[in-house]
Formats: sequence, structure tokens, C-alpha cells
Amino acid sequence: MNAGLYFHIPYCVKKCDYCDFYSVNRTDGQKIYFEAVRKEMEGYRGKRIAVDSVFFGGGTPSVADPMELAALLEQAREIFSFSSDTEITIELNPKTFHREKLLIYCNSGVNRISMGLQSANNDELSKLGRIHTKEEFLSSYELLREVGFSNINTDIIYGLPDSDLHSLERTLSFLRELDCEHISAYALTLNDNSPMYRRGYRFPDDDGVYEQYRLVCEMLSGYRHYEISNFVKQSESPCRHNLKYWQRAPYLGFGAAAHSFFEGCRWSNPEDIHCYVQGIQQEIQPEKEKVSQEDSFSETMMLSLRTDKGVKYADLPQGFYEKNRKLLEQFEASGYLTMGENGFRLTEAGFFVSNSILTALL
Amino acid sequence: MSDRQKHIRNFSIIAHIDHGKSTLADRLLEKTGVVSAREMEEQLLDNMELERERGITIKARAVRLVYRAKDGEEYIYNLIDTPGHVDFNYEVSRSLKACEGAILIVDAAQGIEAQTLANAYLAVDNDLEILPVINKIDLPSARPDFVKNEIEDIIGIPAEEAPLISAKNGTNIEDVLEAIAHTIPAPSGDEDAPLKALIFDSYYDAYKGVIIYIRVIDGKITKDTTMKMMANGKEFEVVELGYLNALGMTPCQELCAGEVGYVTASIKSLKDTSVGDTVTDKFNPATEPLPGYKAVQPMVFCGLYPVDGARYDDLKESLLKLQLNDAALIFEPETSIALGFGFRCGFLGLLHLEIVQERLEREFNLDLITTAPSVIYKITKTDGTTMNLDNPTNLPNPSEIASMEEPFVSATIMSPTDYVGNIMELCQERRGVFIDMKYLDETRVSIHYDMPLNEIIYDFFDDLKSRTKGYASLDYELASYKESKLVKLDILLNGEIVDALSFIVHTDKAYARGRRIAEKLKEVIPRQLFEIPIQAAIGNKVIARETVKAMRKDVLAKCYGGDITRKKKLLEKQKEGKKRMRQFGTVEVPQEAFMSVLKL
Repeated sequence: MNAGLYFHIPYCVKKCDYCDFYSVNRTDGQKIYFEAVRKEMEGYRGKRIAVDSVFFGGGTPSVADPMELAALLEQAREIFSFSSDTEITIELNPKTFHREKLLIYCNSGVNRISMGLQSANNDELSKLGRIHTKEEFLSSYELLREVGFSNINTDIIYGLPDSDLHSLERTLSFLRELDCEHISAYALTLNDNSPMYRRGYRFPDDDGVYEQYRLVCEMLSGYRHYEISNFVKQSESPCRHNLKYWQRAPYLGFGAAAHSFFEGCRWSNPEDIHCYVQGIQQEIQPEKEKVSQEDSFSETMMLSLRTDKGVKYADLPQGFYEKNRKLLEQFEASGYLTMGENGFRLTEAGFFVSNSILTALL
Repeated sequence: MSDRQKHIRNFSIIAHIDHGKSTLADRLLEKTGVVSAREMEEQLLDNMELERERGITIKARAVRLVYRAKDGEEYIYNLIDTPGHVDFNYEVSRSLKACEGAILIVDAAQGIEAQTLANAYLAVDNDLEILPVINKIDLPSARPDFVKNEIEDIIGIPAEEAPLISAKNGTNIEDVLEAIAHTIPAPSGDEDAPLKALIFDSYYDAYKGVIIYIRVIDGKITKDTTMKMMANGKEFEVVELGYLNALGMTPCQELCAGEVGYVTASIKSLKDTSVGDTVTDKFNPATEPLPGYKAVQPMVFCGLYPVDGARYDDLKESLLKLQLNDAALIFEPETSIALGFGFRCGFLGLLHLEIVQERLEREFNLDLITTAPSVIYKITKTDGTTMNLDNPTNLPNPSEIASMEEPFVSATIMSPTDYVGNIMELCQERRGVFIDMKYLDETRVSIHYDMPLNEIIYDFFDDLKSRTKGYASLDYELASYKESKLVKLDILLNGEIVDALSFIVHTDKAYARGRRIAEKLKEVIPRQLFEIPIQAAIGNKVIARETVKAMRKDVLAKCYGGDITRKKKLLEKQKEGKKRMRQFGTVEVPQEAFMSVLKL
């Protein structure tokens, strides 16, 4: 199976208040960081690993010097064996790019864009600590189309503070008008000490978030709901890179806080730019964890069940079906899953309680 | 009386809870130099962790003090500590049997409380000399003269000479030490008579086996004695004997009539000694044993089950060990459809139940499920036979029951007059029958009710405290059985009876309690993948219904950048959480659910 490459760009103009991923509120000092990333990549030279997806995630990749990203891609092409149709995605935030930047991406082979809208209501955007408005998003989006990008993902978040079905409906209507190829819709997940909890917002309860999820599913019914939080136009293909995560395909992550799964091992880089750079300079290898047979089964289950393809009995331990038949039938009767001849998959209702279903089955 | 005996004083300290018993014991230890200030730990006699946290003495302990009195003589004081809570009255009487006198502490601000009186009567019943001591004179609200009068009027003992102390500040502790020598009688007893010693406590030590605490009444016990237990006839060679110090044990050669100490004899089996038994000498036996203790009557029963069924044997071992130090705890195996194998245990009261449960969880590292507490009901069946019922599950079919009786206690509540209305309201709600009310003085009353015990075991005491701002005190003793209209209330989860939650209740209370339990369970049972109907029912008649709605959201929306470790950890945590749940069909019930019902 072809591998995917992930590059973590941990810089932001201003980190969003809900964000739980590793990034810093500054954009300087990138030179030494990209040097380290390039050195990390060098470790694979000579292996000719086959690659068919690349993903620049963050942070905000678009705040980085575009020439640095182009250089990374150029080097990657030398080291790895890229297939001709390699999907190359970059995450952008509105207001962090201009035409010239986009042209550099284009020229270096970027063919897929993922941009955060999060909400089409400006009051919600400011509560989230986003730096843009709905209107600014729209002009950024139009610029992407103008430059010629034909595979665009838009991120939204539901379950927002003080939100309700009406505010979400506005976002979803706006989204439908955009007619983008791919949509990621995430339920807001805050860690327990998030500053957003201290501002007196009213957060919808679990039932409320569930209602919003139903509305998302309903209004995006023209799209294929191929993963818990991901939708793709019927005529288009799912994000190849993200599918690798759910399908346990190999991927290599470069940069601070990047995760890898390769040759049956999982590992991750330090969640700190300085530690990461130092580690690379001193050639300290992160600890690799070999995934045991037992863990592979549970990983298969928890990852496959996130997708609309579900899981195949052949990929689960022998006797799984016989052992869990009663439970599976109960879940099916309750509308949480659908059983087929060779396996089973979760329904849209099942997706939203997948943790409980997994806990029951694992 | 031997010269040795003239200088021995054996006494207990008795008091209402929080009147300063443990603090005075500490001061006595300090002033007699048994414990240096450096070694002094707050409330040394209460050495169980749990006792310290709850500020109550659960187990009696004993300690030997040496005091040089103003007359120049040196006295041996054996202080035998006693528990203060109403649940543990029988342990108080156990300790008193080993003494000639008792220090009765009365709080200078609060005056006589229900247990002051109950304990004083116990001491009188045991023919003890009572030395009244008025504590907490440092409080601004202290009224020592008033309290002196109260002691004389209500208890009927002279109090003019009572030492006025502050145990907290160490004020006038000398007066107490002097008064002990003068007021409390020396032990009498024939050192040359055949050995008779009372076992007043025992304790299990992992290295020495059973350690028994004894008070020698007649004769002497030495390292060469072959002991014979008069109740069961078992014989043991003495291995070690000695005195009980605050910080440990000091071996000695012999213990003579009037003395208090410990004995070890390689006693391995937990059942070979019983507190209250008489020890004699195999080769020179006494003819008659000492009058034993009144057999302890557990009044509250419940089932105890390990959360993890595989730990049944651990639970059994732990109960056996606890029982050695706690004669009031009884247990026998039982089986619950819902919970599997466990034990039906008998306790003195709800506090005793909670303490045993906590000790099992802390000291023996067990996770337990407690079923709804019950008292013993007497049932007469239509065929004329009778039965005692301590487990609601075993209630015969109602058509086979001719009549049922429930235990009533005679309850005494003392309180400032301001709260009389609140107290009567509470007792009325709890089906109490008013007997009388006496004015102790212009501001305080003693109210007397006959109350069904099964109303008292459910948080009556907490309710009483909250309705009287903590001022009322309670004492009660089992009085009689009375016929009553009782029914069994079952709780059904998803249509199935959970036997561990069944309990017996008075007909008039069934609806209200059924409703409260259903509501409470709805709160504590987490939402699950399926809707869970909760029903309270009497027979086939459902009297309350609630529903735990099906869970709608339990999802990790994002696994960003291929980081699946977060999700793995989350699932592991959820699986861990499941282990603390009990499965009933498809319903998972957390351990806390059983506890919360118990508290209603």
C-alpha cells in the first residue's frame, strides 16, 4: 500500500480558542524549523518508499513561507517515489494568503485545498477566536477558484457556544451554495480547562449537539457521508490522505507533534518546536511502538467503523461474529448498525455513539 | 485488698459524642509523661485512620498510666477507652465491665445530652463510681454552674466537686488526675483465688496471632499459665503477657487480680476467643465464669457483594478478620440473582454499616456493593408458622402472610425547646408514637417517642441534626415488636427486578419512597445505548416510573493528523469505567447507584 506524507506546520497568526492541536502564536524562527524537517526527511533517502498523498497541516500552513513548502515538496519528490496522481493537500486559513502564494502552491503540485470556515455566523466566529468573517472567507474561497483549484474542502464546527438549529442552518445553507467538493463537519470538542468554558457561553447539551448533527446529515444528504465527520460530493473521491488513517495504511509524519504509522509501528515527534528541532539535530529517534496483534484488531475496529465501509469480519479475530452476534443484532435492531454478509458498518446514528459501541464490542 | 491493688485505678471515660473524650484521654497521657510532646499525635487512642477522619472512637482501647499523686503515692491508672456513638453502646458496656469507675465528661456549653444520660445509666448499671468532669470551660458560652446543677438534677450524682477543665487547652487536668485517685475505688479481688480474667477486647496481629486484652478479676496469670477459655473449653499456653502502653506493649512476668493487660498465646484461629469470655487456669480452674456480656443484637442488615465477583473469597477473609475486632458484626453467605455471591451482614446501626463498609474498602482494598438496609421483621404465615426476615427477597408470597411485625425502638431526643416543633414533625413523619416530653430546665426538653426502627435507619439522625441546627441529640434502644402494614417494594430496570434494591416499607410510605428512588436512580444511572425504564412496584402494581433516555452522543469527532492515541486512551478509560458497573441484562448500573438508594 502506498504511503502518505504529513507535514506539520505549527505556526498561527493567532491560535483559535477551541484548538487543542499543537501550534504557537508566532510566525518567526521558521528557517531553523524547516531545516530540521528537511533533515528528518533525509532519513528516508534511498528507500524509494511509494507515496500517493501529501498533507500540509497545522497550525496554519499558509502562514509559512510558501517557498519553504515548495522546497519540502521538491525534496520529497527526490526521496520518495511519488505516483503521478499524488493528492497534495494544504490547509489554509482565510486572510493568510494572496494570489502569489497560491500560484506558488499550484506550481509545486498542490492540488487540494482545505480551508476553515467553521461558521457562517460572524458572532460565532468571533466567539471561536477566528481572525476572519464570513465575507472574508468567501472572497478567499473565490480567489482559490479563480486560481484554478478544483478540489476544495471546507471545515465547519457545530455544537458551538450559543448556537442552535437556526444558526447552524445558516452555515449549512451557505456551505451548500459554495458547492465545494468536500466538507468536514466536526462537533466542537473542548478540553476540560478550555478558556471558552469561562466566558459564560451556553453550550448545547448532548441532545442538542445530536440534533445539530442530524441537521448536518440531513442538509448534506447530497454528499456521501463517508466518515464520522467527513462528507464528499457523490461525483468526487474521499480525501485519500485521511482515508489512510482509517484504513491503517502507512503514513510518515514530519515536524513537531507529527504522528507516523509505518511498518507496523506507531510513533510521534515531540509536541514542542524547540525539543523537536534539538532532537533532529542530535539525531534522537522518537520511541517506536510495535502494534501488537491484539491492538491491531482493536485499531482496525475503531478506525474502520469510522467510515461508511465499516469493518470486515475477515479483519477481526476469529470467532468475533459468533461471540458478538447477539450484541450486533441488538445494535442493528436499535438502528445503530447494518450487518452485511462479510462485515458490518455503523449508521449515521451509530456514528454518533461510536465510542459506546466500540467499548461494548472490544 | 493487696497493697498492689490499693494503687490501681481502672476506669473509662464516657461522654456524649464531641464532648471531648479523646482530647481528655490525650491530656491524661501527656500529663503522666507516657507520651512525650514529640510523640504526641492528636488523639492517640483513636488510632484507626477512619476514627481520626470521622472524629469518633469506634474500638475500645486500653492504656496504662503512672501517676504520682499529691499524697506522694504512685498510682497505676488503666484507662479503657470507649466509643461514643449510639450504635456502639454495647462496646461501652463491654469496657465498663473491666472498670471500677468512669469519668463522665459533660460539655460546659451544651450540658447533658442524650448519650450523656445513656452512658451514665450504663455505668450505674455496672455499679461503677462516676466522676463527673465539666469540659470546655474555655468556651465563651460555658455555664459550668448550670451544668453542675443539671448533673445533680438529671443524673442524680453529686457534682459540686467536679473538676472544671479545658481538655483542649490543658487547663486543670491535674484536678482530674487527683480526683481519679480519690474518687474511683481500687479493685478488690483475691490474688490467691483461681484465675478469672475477663476478655474485654481482642485484636489480630499478623505476627503474634490473636492478642487478647484482659482484666484480671481474681488470681493471677503468668508466663507459665496454661489458659482455658471457659466458654468453649479451648486451651492455650501463654506466650507473652504485659501492659498496654500508649505507644506499644511492655511485656511483664505476671498480671494479678485488679490489673489490666494483654496476652498472646499463638492463637491462630479467629474463632477460638470471644470477647466477654472468662479466662481461667487449666490446672487450677475457677468453678464459675464471670457474668458474660449481653449477646450483641445486630439491628440493621444488608447484603455486601464484591463489585468483582472473583473477589468473593477475599471479602470472606476480610470479614472474618474484621469480626475478630468487632463482635457486633455478623455475616453469613447469601446469593443474589442480581449480584451473585455475597454476604448478608448484621450491624448495630447504619453508622456501623458504613464504617464496616469503609474499612473493607480501605484496609482490604475491596470494591463493594451494598444492598438496601433492612431490619428484622417477624412474619406469621397463614399456616401458623413464624419466621424472622432480614432479607426482603425472602419475603413469602403476600397470600401466605397472616401478619407482619416490625421492631420499634424507644427513642429519647434531647434538644433546646426552640426545636420541639421541628422534632415532633420529623418523628410524626417517621411514624413515631409520642410518649412524653419532659422539661430538663427552662430551655431544654427531653422528648420520648416510640419509633419504627426501619424509619431510623434511613438518615433519621442526619435529618434530626439538620432540623435542629445540630443541637438535638438522640439515643435509642430496641423496645418491642408491633404489628404493622408492610409491603415489599421492588425496583425494576428494563422490566427486570433487581433483587438487591428491594426493601420492605410501610404501606403509607411506599408511594413516596418508590418515587424518590426511581428519581434518584434516573440521576445516577448514566445514559446508555438503549433507553432504560425504571419502575418501582408493589407486586404487579407499578407505583412509580422514570426513564433514562438513550444516549445520543458519545463520539470522538476528530482524529487529527493520524493521532489515534487519544482515541485509544479514551476507549481504555471507558472500558475501565465499565468494570465498576454491574450488568443487569443490557443495563449497566454503577456501584454508586446502590449507595445512593441506601442514603434515601
